[in-house]
Amino acid sequence: MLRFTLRSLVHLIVVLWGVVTITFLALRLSGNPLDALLSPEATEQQRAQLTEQLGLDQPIAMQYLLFLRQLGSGDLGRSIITGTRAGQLVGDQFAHSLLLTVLALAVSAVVGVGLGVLAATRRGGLIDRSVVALAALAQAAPLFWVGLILIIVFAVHLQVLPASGMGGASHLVLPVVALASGIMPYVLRLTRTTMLGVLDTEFIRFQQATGLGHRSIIYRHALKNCLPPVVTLLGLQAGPLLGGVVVIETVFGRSGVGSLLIDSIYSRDYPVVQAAVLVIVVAVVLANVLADLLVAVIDPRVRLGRTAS
Amino acid sequence: MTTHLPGQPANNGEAPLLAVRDLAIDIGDGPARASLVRGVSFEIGRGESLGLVGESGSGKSLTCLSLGGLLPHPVRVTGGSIQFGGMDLAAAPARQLRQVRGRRIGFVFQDPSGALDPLFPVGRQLAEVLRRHRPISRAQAYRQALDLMDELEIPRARDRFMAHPHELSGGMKQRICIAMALAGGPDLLVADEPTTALDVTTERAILTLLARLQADRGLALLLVTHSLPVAASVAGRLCVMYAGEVVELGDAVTCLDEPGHPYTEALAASARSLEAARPGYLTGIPGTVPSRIQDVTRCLFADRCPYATDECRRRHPPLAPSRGGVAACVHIDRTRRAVW
Repeated sequence: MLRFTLRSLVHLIVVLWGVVTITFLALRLSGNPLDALLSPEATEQQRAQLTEQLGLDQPIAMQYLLFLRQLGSGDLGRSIITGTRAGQLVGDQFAHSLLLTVLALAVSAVVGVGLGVLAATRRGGLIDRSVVALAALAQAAPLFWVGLILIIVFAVHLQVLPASGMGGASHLVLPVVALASGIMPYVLRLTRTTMLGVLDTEFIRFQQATGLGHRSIIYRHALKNCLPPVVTLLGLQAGPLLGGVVVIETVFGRSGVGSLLIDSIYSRDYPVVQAAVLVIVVAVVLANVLADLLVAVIDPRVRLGRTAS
Repeated sequence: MTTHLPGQPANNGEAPLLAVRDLAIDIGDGPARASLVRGVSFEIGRGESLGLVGESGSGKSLTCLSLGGLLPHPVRVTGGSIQFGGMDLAAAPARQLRQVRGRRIGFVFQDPSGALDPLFPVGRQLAEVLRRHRPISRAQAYRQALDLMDELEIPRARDRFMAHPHELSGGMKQRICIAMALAGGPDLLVADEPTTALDVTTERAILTLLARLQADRGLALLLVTHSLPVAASVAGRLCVMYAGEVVELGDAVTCLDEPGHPYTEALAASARSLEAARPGYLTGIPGTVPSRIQDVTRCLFADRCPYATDECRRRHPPLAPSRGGVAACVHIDRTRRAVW
């Protein structure tokens, strides 16, 4: 397990380096930042001053090394609009988004796996068919639409939950449900399919023959055998989920890295956009590494190095 | 129910442990319905062993699975009875069958690599089954699991306890499976081709182990195999199945030496030619087992049988007394020819 963890960490560092490099190149390719930062009426002297200040007079390789050194010391530059440190700005907002994402991930995992198992153990029955229909419906509905429907039903008509804004736990319910509805169907369908496969295996039949109880067979053995692909899926869904956060934070008027990203793009606040993208990408990569480690904990065969490169 | 049939164990006035009568197993419904097993009857006495022999598709595994209500949907028992411990397992509700599985009848299957949960250490899987059957603590279950692993001749049981299935050899896994089957202290062990997936030396070791466990624990054993000599080496009596029917039932040694049914004769001959192992001299039985049985007004083996006459194709031969017990052939008194 230790060797597997170390391998994963080396893997992680390589991926992070790649991500950082691509972010750097993408920003240099998106045009001269001077045109965005300075007004068209800026003097040559102002342009030269900023060029030197940003290090743009250096060769691209030097700029890259400089960029890496800044990153290494945790410096992501300053916001062009407010002058606050970009890292600080993103970090503050990221906590809100992380809470939303983790809650949505947990809700979709619990509900998706629960309904998936329920459907698989009652294959072809009324419950199975309703659950599969619900999954198809949730899969087809766009996130912002689900968010708006939830607001109309629970905030406007029933008036049991707040429609928008930041606040206590009650403010989290609707955004979390809306966000979870985006990935829950995938978790549900994968759980159901995997469960049906596992229930058809030889070891389930043998456990029945040894007299083991139905509950122990389903919830202990079959369920654990379903988890590796589901955990991998949850890790992979971290990306779409953080993309969904951008939409959901806008719909529900919440502050977070999503709304910060949108605002910064509108105001062309490049350092903040760069910092936000970097933090989101790192979060997605970390989520996948975490999922890989979790799968290795669940399935000892994975530790033999089949998945490691 | 306790009348003595030829080919059945001497019952000494005592009811047999297991009495299967006229068992019928079908698959599907309506026009898709097909018969897989018909009119199968046999008995097993306490502590006795019976070898169930036949080719693939002869219905021997289905017969075994039906004893524990383990037939996969849409296969089901459609007739006959399975008398065991005062119950009719063919008609018992699922709840009652759950009480029988593991506790009264233990099962071991063909492929030990697929039979264990890949994600749990084997010792814990064994301990879990023990706790299912006995009111014991986790620590007690672990101790008893280690004892059972010792009894099953698993070397270094302590090291193996926390091993996952993929870390053990096929033979070790099959020993764990047998231990799990015995955890509930059953009276009858049903072993469905327990050595087919293993190599020859391991096969011998497992068979010897089964014979010893049977003697030590006073277990009754139903050993399913496609090898007549394997069955005869472990079991006192044989039940030979062909195309879902019993074609011969009786004393193992006699059946092997003086087969009542041409099919048994063919199985014995092919095993002998395998033993002689002269290249080019392997004997097979020409043809294949009929799969969809529609016409049961004839002998189902007639098309592959060198002794077949018109009579064989006109009526279905009933079981009649033979040297070893009973056999379903109209040519029981035939003079053997060197045809196989």
